[in-house]
Amino acid sequence: MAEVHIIGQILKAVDFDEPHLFCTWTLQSGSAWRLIQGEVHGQTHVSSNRLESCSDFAAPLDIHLSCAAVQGWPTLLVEVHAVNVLQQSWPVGYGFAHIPATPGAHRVEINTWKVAPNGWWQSIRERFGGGGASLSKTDLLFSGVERYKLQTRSSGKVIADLHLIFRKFEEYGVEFH
Amino acid sequence: METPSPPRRGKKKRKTQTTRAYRRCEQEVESLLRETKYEDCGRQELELEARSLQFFHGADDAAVGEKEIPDQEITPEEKGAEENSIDGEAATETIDSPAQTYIDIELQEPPLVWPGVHKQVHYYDDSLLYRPANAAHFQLHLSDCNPGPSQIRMLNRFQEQAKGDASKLSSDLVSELCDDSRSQFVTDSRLYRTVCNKEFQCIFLAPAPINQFMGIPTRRCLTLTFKQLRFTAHPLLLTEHRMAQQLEDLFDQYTENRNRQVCRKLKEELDIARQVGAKLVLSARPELTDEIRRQLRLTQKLRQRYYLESTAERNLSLRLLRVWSKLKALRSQQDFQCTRFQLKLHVGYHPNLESAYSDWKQQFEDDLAEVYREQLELFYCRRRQWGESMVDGASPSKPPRKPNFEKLMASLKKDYDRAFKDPEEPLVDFVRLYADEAAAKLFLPASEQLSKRRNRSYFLKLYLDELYVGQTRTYRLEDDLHLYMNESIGVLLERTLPQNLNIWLYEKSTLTQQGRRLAVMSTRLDLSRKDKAVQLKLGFLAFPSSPKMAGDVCLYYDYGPIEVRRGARDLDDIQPLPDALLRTLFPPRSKAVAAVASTTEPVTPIGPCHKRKKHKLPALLFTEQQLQFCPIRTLFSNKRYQLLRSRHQQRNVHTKQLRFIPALEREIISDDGDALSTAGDSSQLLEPGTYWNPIDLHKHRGYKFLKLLYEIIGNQSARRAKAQQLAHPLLFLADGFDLSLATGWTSLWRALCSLFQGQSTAMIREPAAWQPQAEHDQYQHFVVSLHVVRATGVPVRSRHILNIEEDPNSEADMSNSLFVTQTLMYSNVRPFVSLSYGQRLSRSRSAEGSNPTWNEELQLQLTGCQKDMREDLKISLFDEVIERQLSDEASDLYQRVQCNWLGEYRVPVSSLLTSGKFEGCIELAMPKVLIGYRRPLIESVTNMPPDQYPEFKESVHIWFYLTIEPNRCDLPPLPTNVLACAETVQLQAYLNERRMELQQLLPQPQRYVEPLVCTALGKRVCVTRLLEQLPLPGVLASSKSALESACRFVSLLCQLRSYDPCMGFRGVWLDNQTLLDSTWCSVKDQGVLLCNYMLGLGLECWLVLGHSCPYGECCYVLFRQPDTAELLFVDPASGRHYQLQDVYCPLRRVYCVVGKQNMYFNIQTETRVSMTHFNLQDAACWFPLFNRSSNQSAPEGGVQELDYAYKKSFELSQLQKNIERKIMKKISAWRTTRKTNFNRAFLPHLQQILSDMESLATFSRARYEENAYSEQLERVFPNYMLHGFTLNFPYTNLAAVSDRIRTTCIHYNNSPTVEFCVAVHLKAYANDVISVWVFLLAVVPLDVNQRGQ
Repeated sequence: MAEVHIIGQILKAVDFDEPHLFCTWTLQSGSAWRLIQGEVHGQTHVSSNRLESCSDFAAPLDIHLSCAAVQGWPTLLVEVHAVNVLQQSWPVGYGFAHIPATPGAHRVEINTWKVAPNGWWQSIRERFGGGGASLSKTDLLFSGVERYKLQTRSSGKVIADLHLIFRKFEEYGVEFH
Repeated sequence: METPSPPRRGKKKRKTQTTRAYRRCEQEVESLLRETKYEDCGRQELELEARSLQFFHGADDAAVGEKEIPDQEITPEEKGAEENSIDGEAATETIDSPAQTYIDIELQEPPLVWPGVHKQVHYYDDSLLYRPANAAHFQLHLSDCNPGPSQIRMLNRFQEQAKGDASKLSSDLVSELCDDSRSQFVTDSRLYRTVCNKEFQCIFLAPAPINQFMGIPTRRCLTLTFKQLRFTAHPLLLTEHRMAQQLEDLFDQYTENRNRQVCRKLKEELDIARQVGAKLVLSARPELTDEIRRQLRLTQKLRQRYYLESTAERNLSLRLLRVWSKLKALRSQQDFQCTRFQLKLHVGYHPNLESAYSDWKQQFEDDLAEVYREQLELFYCRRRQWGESMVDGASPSKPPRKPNFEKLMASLKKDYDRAFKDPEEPLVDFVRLYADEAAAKLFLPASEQLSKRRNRSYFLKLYLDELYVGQTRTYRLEDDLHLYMNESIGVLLERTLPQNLNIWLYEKSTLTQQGRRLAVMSTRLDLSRKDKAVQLKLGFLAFPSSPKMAGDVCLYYDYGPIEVRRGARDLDDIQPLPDALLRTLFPPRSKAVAAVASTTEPVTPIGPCHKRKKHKLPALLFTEQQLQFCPIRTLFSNKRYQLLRSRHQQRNVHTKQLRFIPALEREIISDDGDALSTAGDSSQLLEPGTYWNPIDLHKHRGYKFLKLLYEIIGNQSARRAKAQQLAHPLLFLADGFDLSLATGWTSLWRALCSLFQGQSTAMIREPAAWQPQAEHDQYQHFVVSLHVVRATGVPVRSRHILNIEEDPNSEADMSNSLFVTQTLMYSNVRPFVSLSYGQRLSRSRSAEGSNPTWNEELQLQLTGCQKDMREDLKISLFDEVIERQLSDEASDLYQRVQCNWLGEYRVPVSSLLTSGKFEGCIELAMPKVLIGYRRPLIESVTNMPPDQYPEFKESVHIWFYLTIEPNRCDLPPLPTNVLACAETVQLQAYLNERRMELQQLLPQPQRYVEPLVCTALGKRVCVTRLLEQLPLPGVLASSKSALESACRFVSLLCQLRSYDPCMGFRGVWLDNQTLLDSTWCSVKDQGVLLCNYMLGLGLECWLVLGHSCPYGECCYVLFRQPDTAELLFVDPASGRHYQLQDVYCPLRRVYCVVGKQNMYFNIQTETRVSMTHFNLQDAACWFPLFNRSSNQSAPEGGVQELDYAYKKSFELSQLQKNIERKIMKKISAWRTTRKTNFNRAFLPHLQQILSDMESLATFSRARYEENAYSEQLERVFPNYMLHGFTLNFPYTNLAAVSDRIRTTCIHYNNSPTVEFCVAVHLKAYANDVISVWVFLLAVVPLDVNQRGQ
């Protein structure tokens, strides 16, 4: 039974225009992967920083997975949402990153994008009233089939610190260096 | 643009439209090239060098200008350059295979699309690697020039390329390369880096608005629609079928002709040709004679063709008519019809006959004139030829004759008759009638119908290029030998196009799943036509093995993008790409592959079964599965995974609280070890093995028997209670429901009356008295909390242990002072209390001294099903010994903590669950001999008499408060009141009356005990019947102190630990036979048995029903001491005697007293037992059930078996060995970290002590004379530090023994030099009632310096 421990935290979101942010995250893996312990999805608190465009989340990750194949290597999907004073929220960033395939400590920077406003009126509304288009299907995040239909804007970065421990992969001829 | 291939490309590109951006780019490149031409030579050389370097060691910028050239293939040059890093090369090599399958589109730059290229096989062989060398590979003829290394390399490269093309290196290329004017050469920025023989075709996609561009469709749908299948040869074929099919074919031809309108078109063409000819003739210019002649010849040919076609058409109609009339005749002749074909004739006449005639005549005359002219021309031509031949003097022959006009006219007339219809002839139009089923009226003669109905159904299987795609449904053969299918099968094709379509015809058989293969049809798929469906008619011929069959299938197929099909959603609406683009995108397999395929595969595909024989297809495997380490199932079956997972899910109570799960699978042990085996657990009762000890077997059977008995009685009463609730008779009698009246005619009459009168209201159903509760077999959490206040009389350490703890320096002074010693004596123990259940344990702080106060609450979390909680809660007393170990360095001081077991108190969880709480003061069960410790004797402390120090008793008492949460003491009582009653009706009624009286007097309603109790036979009897004089077992009866022996014997019976309503007063009371046979019982049965024995001994005794501390509802025996006439209680579970005023008596409440003749209920308000009056004659205190005023007297006897024959116990020696071995094995097993030594030297002493113990326990009444034994032992072995104790318990099974040993924690002694000694002594009474004595001793040899003191 090959096992992967993913220990770490979603550290912060940087370079976003909006001041108040929270982030929902999901760990997605293939069908040959099974969760042993831990939470594979979650949502951070709303965080903001007045001085710099950086929201600290420090949401802990502690996931223990087991796998029967390398296929479907886990990916970390993040969605960053902005919150305004009326407690309304809308997505301002989608992004994903594969969990690194080497053991040890990693800092993963997830570049995110958001759906571009659909026309002039929409962009005006977004600029002054907040809000934004979101994905109807979240699988667009990781599947490449329909992504070409999207028009997006690049937005900030989500930074995650991951420490990875791999067990028993060498029994199946997979070695990490 | 100097190299040969680029201009072609350029030309090709120019055909398509180029964008402005592209053109600009092109211009820039060309201007750049032009500039480079006029550079000076030296720089040119340098640049040339750089360029070729760039080329060979390919950098990214080399490809900037040549984006349209795919650089997917890795050239051998590059391989050669990278020969050091084969690994990296392998990586790049594997990368390019997916790159070929994807199509990338860049939208910003001139967009490019690469077609999917079939993968080339590369072999990693050093011999195949090409290394660029600076030396020429071939001899250069031109010796005059001296080419530089880069030129030589270039030459080599071109030579290799030429080799690849199997052509020669062109000499002008060589000369050009070797030429000094090198600037002429590399001028193109397009550098070709590949020798791939595949020619890439670029596709240009014009930029489109983003909402219109939807990418390139890679997926297409091939839709095959099967219309019908027709048999042209079949065993069932009749003449009618043949004719109908012929007619059908003819009609198809007819309709096709009509659709094509060949005749009309020919006619028009002919007219045009004639007009042109006429014009040409009119112009009559001499240079046009050839033209005229050709035109005339064309006209002639057209005319002849027109005649032919027209004739054919006419013939077809005539044949149609003829066959149709024949078919009609046949149908009318035979009395059935089995085909559907129907024709309708529209017969019309020319509206204007005159004009038709004139038209016809006009046409005929025109044609005739034309024919005549042609003939004349021919004649003139021949005559001229003849004349010439005559001039030459060749063979004389007849001159050609002039064409005869009459003859010509006649022949033309004949042709006309054949080809065109007479103007008088009616115009016939054929229309096929598709009559509906009812109108068709198909029927067959009965005999044929029968044979035909038999399983004639067929289906088709579809193969695309030998790949099985699907099959149609099964269709029944219609009477007209058609299968009307109208079924379409859609095949989704991704990137590959099948070439052949093969259809297998199967006959469905009823016997087997597979049908019988009949025939195969094969055709080539033409998928290039995108727009319209292709219609096909495939003929087939059955295999020679099967009955002769032939026929054809009508199908059409359609090939198009799937998106078209769901075109309703405009989001995915994809415009069809132009044809040329599609063709390049979906190349019909590359030629090489096709060639290979055609050589290997036969033209007709092999059937599936045949195929299986030839090469076995692998089982269907997803790539993902193929690449898995192991199947997912093994992951699930992994023990570690299961454990981790179930711990995570928190559903299983066993795994929920697991702290540690081993990392390696082999370290995981199955959890059904001895740890979970419990004393009463029936599944673990017996050690697995082939040989069972007969005593074990007896105990096991007894246990099973009692459980079964309880279950049966419980079920029976539950069933009866339910039946009584529901089963009122359907027919109610009008007044009073008396069985004595309900017979005979009168009752019938009454019944009838009652039907009309309506039911009497007297019969009111009682509310449900008993509801089954299934709650107590669910898993629950319990919190057991023990509030332990204080204890008295804790034994103190004897000298040896004392010594250890003393500081050697201070001891010298202290030993002088007696007072200090005495104080020390009583404070040298550090006791603590632990509460444990199973593996769980919780302990208190340790206090000082022999009368410690903790005042602490211990909590224990338990989980389990109430029914399965059979173990005892253990409240154990330990002494914490802290031993200082001085190492060589004075600075280091080690402490070794050791816990010595002093005694315990067991509370069955089942009784705690029933009662909810226990409180007060209890006496700990201390070991008879406790070596290393000494009882705190009052005399040694002070001279005062012990009465003034009531707490300095000789036993250890603990004040405690024990509760269990959730406190559900709602165990539903067994509804024994529904069971059959053995008493007379009068007695029952009397008891009912007395109950009414009593319930007003009782201060507490729960004191009431139902006098009718259920026996083991499942009948209710009065409780007084249980008491009868019973003889003691033979050996005991003869002993001098029979009373003590009887108590001892009864206390050694095994108590059942079970959360069961049968254990209570309203449960089952066992008679002596069942009890003694099984040797298992509840505590109340022990009381009854003891009472009966005492009656047998002639004592005046009563049975006291009450509530005692660790057992809940139980029976004590009250008897009058014959010598002193003093009343005493006897606890049957321990055999101990208590005075009535004893506050430490575990009996906490008295409900009633049962004598042989009467039963007295306690109606005193006082609840404390010690304050209760036991003058049974006092009517103010006791309420007699039977009194003299009523004529009822208590029923007696009949339950117990008076002459019960006791059985002899089995041989004990084997059991003793077993127990000994088990204990030693267990101690070794528990001490996992250390080696366990057993000391045999102490064994005889211990055995000797144990042999005395049984009689001591029986007769000494818990007096402490055993100090003598420990002192004796300490005297014999002065150089050892000893801690040991005896354990005594009735034997149930080996697991219970090991459980007892484990709770003493003697195995935790972690002194490195410790040795253990185990002695076992068994004392058997009758009927396998066995008392087990175990002596456990932990021996630590004293150090030399300690010995010295």
